[in-house]
Formats: sequence, structure tokens, C-alpha cells
Amino acid sequence: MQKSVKILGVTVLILFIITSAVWYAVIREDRGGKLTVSFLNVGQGDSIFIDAPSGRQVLIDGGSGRSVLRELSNVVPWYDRTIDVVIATHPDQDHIGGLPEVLSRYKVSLIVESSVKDENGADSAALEKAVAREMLTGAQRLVAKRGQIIDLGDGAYLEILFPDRAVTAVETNTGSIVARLVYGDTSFMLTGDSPQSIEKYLVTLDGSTSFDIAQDKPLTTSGNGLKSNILKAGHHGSKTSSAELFVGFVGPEYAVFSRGCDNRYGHPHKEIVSLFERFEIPTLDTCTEGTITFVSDGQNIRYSK
Amino acid sequence: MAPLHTEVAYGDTIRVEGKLQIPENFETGKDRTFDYPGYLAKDGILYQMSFAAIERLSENDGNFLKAWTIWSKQKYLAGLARALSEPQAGLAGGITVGDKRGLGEELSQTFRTVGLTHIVVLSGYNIVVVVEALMRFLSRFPQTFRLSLGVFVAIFFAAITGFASASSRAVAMATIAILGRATRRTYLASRALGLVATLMVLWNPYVLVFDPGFQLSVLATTGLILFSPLFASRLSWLPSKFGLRDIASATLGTQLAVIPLLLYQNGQLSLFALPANLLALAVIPWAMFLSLIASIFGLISGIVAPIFGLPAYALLSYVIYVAKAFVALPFSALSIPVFSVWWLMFIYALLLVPILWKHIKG
Repeated sequence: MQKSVKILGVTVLILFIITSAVWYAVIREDRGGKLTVSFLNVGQGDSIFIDAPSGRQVLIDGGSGRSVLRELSNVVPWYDRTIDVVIATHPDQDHIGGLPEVLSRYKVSLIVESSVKDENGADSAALEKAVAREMLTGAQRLVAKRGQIIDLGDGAYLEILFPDRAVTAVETNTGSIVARLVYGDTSFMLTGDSPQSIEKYLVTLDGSTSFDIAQDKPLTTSGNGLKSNILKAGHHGSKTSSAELFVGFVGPEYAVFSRGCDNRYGHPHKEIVSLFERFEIPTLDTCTEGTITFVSDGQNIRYSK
Repeated sequence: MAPLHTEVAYGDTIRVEGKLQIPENFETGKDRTFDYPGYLAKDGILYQMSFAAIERLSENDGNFLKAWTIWSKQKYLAGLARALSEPQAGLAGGITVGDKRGLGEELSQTFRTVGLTHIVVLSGYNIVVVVEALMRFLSRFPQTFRLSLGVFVAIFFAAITGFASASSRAVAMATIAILGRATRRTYLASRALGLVATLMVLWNPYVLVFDPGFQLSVLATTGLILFSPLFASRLSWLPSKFGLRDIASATLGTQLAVIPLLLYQNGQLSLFALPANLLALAVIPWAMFLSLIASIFGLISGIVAPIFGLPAYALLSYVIYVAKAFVALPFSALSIPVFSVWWLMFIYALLLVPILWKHIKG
């Protein structure tokens, strides 16, 4: 082969690859009006990835270590190095352990935290350091407070239900951020490790209100502000969470246990498993299913394997 | 064992409080245990500590050269992390500098099952690829400069692994080969291996019995020297494109030499090691080169780095795909029951018969 022919061939090949990559990105970036929520398989711990219809992305918690990076690669395309919002529900290792690595690899615009602190925690200190570094490149930092709405565009939003005050002095689980993700008529209840006391408190706050804050109109379909299609069972299915009253008010189609197989806490607790059985709420488990993904078109939620 | 995010760096002087324990053997398969205390003892480690609380007393007390080596490795890995996603970044770190933390337990196990682990730990293979590429790249420069740079880079790579057995052996042998070329003497790989292995055992006698890295590395090299030529002469039907014929004979030779020991140690026989290595090794030198490019752009080009990492990403994904495809096949690994060390000796003695036969005849 002549040298010029070879160069021509290589150039055409490179251009072809670049064109394919661009078209791949164009197709990948069109969400088709769908919201995707993935409960990532990070072992014992929580990590929830939200891909909004507008293309905005939210990561709630990051599991205990590096495994979240491998899981993120499955839900974020290879060329995408940005996540719009990262939420750390509370500073326990199984929720924030992987977040410093996430912050160092992805450019994050907004970091939301609870005001609860873990003073001597190594993970908490590492996260603090990573957040400070991220803020140098323009990230904003926000302390979560009830009433805040994080607008994800095209009708999807996250509403913060708890904490409703400064929780600097409480135990870390109690200070967990509780958020409800809403898109059209569909919603997800994400409670971190909140204990039953907080769940019951939320029932008194939201159980009877029938008001949709973002739409500024009464909710006609659900009847209460906690009603959600999907509930992440609090604290990985521990019996310290999932109060019967709260689960009843949320009334989900599915409950999700985000936990590792053979965890030393015995999550999910058999009482909680039987509670969901009694309510005839099917449960999904990241230990047996791996990453659990739901897709919402605003009217219905589909569980996709 | 301290929490994951404890801030400790090389060169720190620390004060540790915790519970001292004597290390224990752990199981590596049915009825097989790994002599962990012996493995740690080879590096002079006699105790482990749990629930450790660490207090840093001072910093930068270490050796300047060591600190610099570690710093450059970490910079390089940070570049990879920005240009590639996981597990591709982890694999890139494995094939270039032997850092396999990013690979994760599941994928590490996959590579073990299909007989590809040697590419993700810094074995001699990776160092040879780098040194050879460097020699070709510098072919126009004066020989003394080329050869001394070659030795320097080889030693740098061994330092990156903390002078682990396999890489030390490779570097020592490469250095002997380069010196041989510089002084125009004949280089006999078998003698170099004998000399290096003997010196390593004299330096630290523990490696002979307690360091699988040393054992496998020496055996694999022996296989490469003794068995591979025998296979090569019978593989003329294979195309020589992409170095396939060389890879096949090298894989067959090294596998034949290490399989008995691997079977003795963990009882897993990789049935698809040959096709997996043929398909994966053909692209490894390119994957290494493109990973280096990806890391450089990762360090300088911010969030558009993945675009420059795309070629590396594609090749690394291909290697991962090959490993996963073979592990999904039925019988990807056979389990062999425990057998006595005397059988192991007997098998190795048997393996030497054709070599001796050829020697006597020739």
C-alpha cells in the first residue's frame, strides 16, 4: 500500500469513529421524557442515581467505598464527567464513604448535606476535604432544610421533607435528609437511615396535607403528602425504621432494600420483611437483584431489570 | 486496619493504638489454606492490628526518591481516573503500573478464572513491553544513552511496585540483558534467571517458600525459556500477524510451567487461558500506550478528558469483554481436589523429561 493511501485510510477511520461517538452521545442524551432512578448495587449501603427527563443528574449517597464508581459507569455514559447534584443524607460510612472519590472524578455543581455532624469520623473528614476542593472549581454547598425544592427541570423535582431545623447535635441517622422525588403523578420516597421517630413525625407533618408545593395546588390523586409509588425502606430494612404508620401513609407499589448480602447487622430485619408482606407490598433487594432501576414517564413507573 | 479514609502518606511518622493480633491462615478454596503469616513474615510483618486509631506525628520523613516515585504513580492514576471511567481506569492502572485496586473483587476474580491475572499485576511482562517500546522509540539515539535510560525506566517501574518479587526479577534480568548488549557479550536468559533467582533467595530466603509472586514469576520465566521454543516450532500454522504466534507459544510455555503450582495452591484450572490470552494480549501493548496518553490528557484537559481517553477506553473495554465472555462459558474453571506436595514435585520432574531428552540428543 502507498503511504498516502494508508494515511487516507487512517484519517477516514478516525473521522468515522468520532462521528459515531458524536451520534451515540446525541441519541444517549435524549431522555424521551423519562425519569430513571437506579438503586445502585454498592453492597451494604445506599447510593441512588437519578437521571431526570431534562438530563440533570442527582446522586444521593455513595455507598461505603469505591464500588460506587463502577456502578456509576453503568448509568453515566463514558464521556460524561459531570453530576449536577450530590446529596449526602448523613455522615455515616455506608452513605458517604464513596463520595470523596465521586467528587474527585466528577464535576459537581451542587452539594447538599444535612447539618448533622460526625465530629471524629475519618469519612466525614475526607468528605469535608473533597467538598472544599470541589468548591474551588465553582461548586455550591447547601444545608438541607424542609421546604427546599431542587428543580430537576421538565417537571421533575426533589422536595426536602427533613430536617426541618438545625440538627447539629442529634445522632447521625436521626439527622438524615428525607427527600421525595416527584415527576408528574409519580414519586419516590427516599429516607436515608431515618428512624421510626422521624418517620412518625413526618406523618404528623405531611400525612394530612394535600398540597403539592411545586404546583401550588391540592393533590387530587394521592390525598396526602407522603404518598409515593416507590419507598426505599429506611436504614437498609433495619427494624429501627419503617414504622407501620409511615409505610401505610406512603403506600408504595414497591419497597426497596438497599443492602449487602451477609451484612453483619442482619438487614433486612424479619419483622420489616413481614410488615411489607402483610401490606402486600412487593420488595426488591439490591443483594439479590443487583442494581434496581425504575423508569417513570410521569404517569406510570416501570421496574426494569 | 484503620478506616478507609484515614489520611496517611508515605514518609509520615505515626502513632497507632489498637488491638494486636497474630495473622491467621485463610482459605483459598475447598480444603486449601494460604499461609498468610508466612507471606507477611517475608516482609518482616509479624502482627496485624484491628480497630486502629492513628495519630500523625510528623510528615516527609521518608526517602526523597521513594516519595517521588509514589507521587508520580499517584498523579498518573489520578489522570487515568479523570479520563476513563471504572472499571476501565482500574484496568489501565493494572496493566501499566500494577495498581489493581480499581478493578474490584468481582472483576479481579474474573481475570483469575480465565488466566489473565498476570496482565493486571505488574509482572515482568509489562516491564518488558515498556522497555522494548522505549528502545524502539530511541533507536536513533546513541547506544549508551538508550541503554542507561532503559535500565533507569526498568528500575523506576520496579520501584513503583515497592520492589515486588516479580518486577524485581524482571528488572534484574532486563538489566543483565542490556548490560550484555552494551558490552557485546552473549546473553543467556536461563543463566540470568538462575543468577537472579539465587540472589533473590539469598537476599530474602522467605520468598522461596512464602511468596507466590516469586514462585510464579520464576516458573513462568522458566517456561518461557524452556517450553515456549518447543511450542513455537509446532505453531507455524498460526498467523504471525499481531504477534499471535509469539503470544501463543509464550502463553503455552508459561501456562505449562505455572499450572501445576497454581493447581496445588488453589485448585482452579483455567480451561480457556490460551484463547483468552491470544485475544487479550494482542492489544495490551497498545492499550498500555493509549492509557498513558489518556492519563496525560486527564491531568491537563479537565472534563473533556474522556474524549482523549476514548481509544484507550475502547481497547480496555475489549479486554474486559474478552475476560467476561470466557468466564461466562461453561467449565471456564475446573476444580481439582487437594493433592500432596510430592505429586507436585513429580509433575515438575516429569515436565523436565522432554527438555533433558532434547538436551542429550542435541
